[in-house]
Amino acid sequence: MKKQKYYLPRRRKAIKRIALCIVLFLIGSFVCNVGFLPSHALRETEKYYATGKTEVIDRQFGLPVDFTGFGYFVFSANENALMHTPITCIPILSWSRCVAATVDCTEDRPIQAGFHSITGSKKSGCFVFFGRVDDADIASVEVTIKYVNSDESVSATVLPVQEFIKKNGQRYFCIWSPKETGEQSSIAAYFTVTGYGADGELIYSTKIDQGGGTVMG
Amino acid sequence: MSEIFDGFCRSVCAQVKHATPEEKKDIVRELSDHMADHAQALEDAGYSHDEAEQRAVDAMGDADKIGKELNREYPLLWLLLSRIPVFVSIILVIILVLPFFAQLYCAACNIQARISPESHGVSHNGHISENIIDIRQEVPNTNDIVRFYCADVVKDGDAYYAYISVCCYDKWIFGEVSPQTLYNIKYSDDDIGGGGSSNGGAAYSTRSIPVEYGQESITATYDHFGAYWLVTIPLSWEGVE
Repeated sequence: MKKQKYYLPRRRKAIKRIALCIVLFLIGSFVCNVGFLPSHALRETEKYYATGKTEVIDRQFGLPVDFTGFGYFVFSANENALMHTPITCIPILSWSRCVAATVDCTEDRPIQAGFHSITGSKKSGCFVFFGRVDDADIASVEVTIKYVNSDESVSATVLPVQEFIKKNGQRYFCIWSPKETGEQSSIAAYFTVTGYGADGELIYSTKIDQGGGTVMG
Repeated sequence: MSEIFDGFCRSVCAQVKHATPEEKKDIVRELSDHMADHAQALEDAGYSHDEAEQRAVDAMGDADKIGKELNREYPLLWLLLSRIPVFVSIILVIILVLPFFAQLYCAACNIQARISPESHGVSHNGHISENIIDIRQEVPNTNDIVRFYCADVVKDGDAYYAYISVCCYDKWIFGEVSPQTLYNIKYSDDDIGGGGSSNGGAAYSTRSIPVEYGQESITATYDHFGAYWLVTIPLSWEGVE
């Protein structure tokens, strides 16, 4: 009995305070829409773009994009949508989303692909290309970036998909390329995705016209 | 409290490392009350005051040993578990104060869209709408409700236009509405959608759609990421020349 006399008040106090903390947490989550977890930011993005719930396919850390705070990029998907979302943690404990890039997959295509043009501070930035291969005959995929330079010359960069991300029986890809910076930078960029068969034959090629751009401060 | 009791209590408390000042006060109070009761009993039995106090302290035993035993009754874990939530709660309050007031405003806007969206203001070139309708449609993949609340037909030259006013609000009154929802409502196959305004708690849009004279209704469709619905909006030609 003596043991309980000293022990219980401290435990009771701790339990009361933890309960209060949980109540505040719930108020924050449900009333103030504050994202205490990165998944909150992803759920908000899904709601904003009305994509429905998506599953995380890949997370990208260390893209060459400078911005305030801590953050990373999430490639997520469901049957009808692909989404590439920057998720940042600013100012304290609050996770928020920036503008995401989405792809509507409701139309049948051998490859569903999108681009995300990300610009950070200090003129840093990159292009992210993400997609899903829906044609089983396609064995390899590459993305071509065609730059139109300020002197009207055209240059191209080919990005082969080194490895597919396999999830739920689907093949996905998410690759990136740094943006050109400085005086030689291009004035426009066009993207093409191409799928090849096992023997290297061309199966499908199309312009990537779905996606979006994000400027991160 | 006498010096001899005070010294004993301090020796005991020195061993109780994780007790808070309030808990140490409780320990001192309990020990000193116990020793005072014992000393009083000894005094009543004929011992001198000083001797009774000394015997009461001696009867307690080794102060260090008592202190170490008591120390086990004050585990550090529960102390930390009672302190950490206080720190976290303070941070939470700081984070939530500003968004909370913003959310109150959003909630007011949400309620307005549910009850009286027309009070948000419906005017087409000075013509105030009188044809209030109430057609509500859930938007799949979101928590949003779209509400068509005004459908006017206006003559402009030789042409007729239907002015359709629509608002959108979240099912949860503190929820933020997605401004994208209204952009995805189309009134014809070649409609590229239209803009609107959002105040966080509700979004509003009024679109003018060319109609044929006497046309009974107009259809609004939503087709986005596999979610689809169609709503038929009746048109009233009363008072239209």
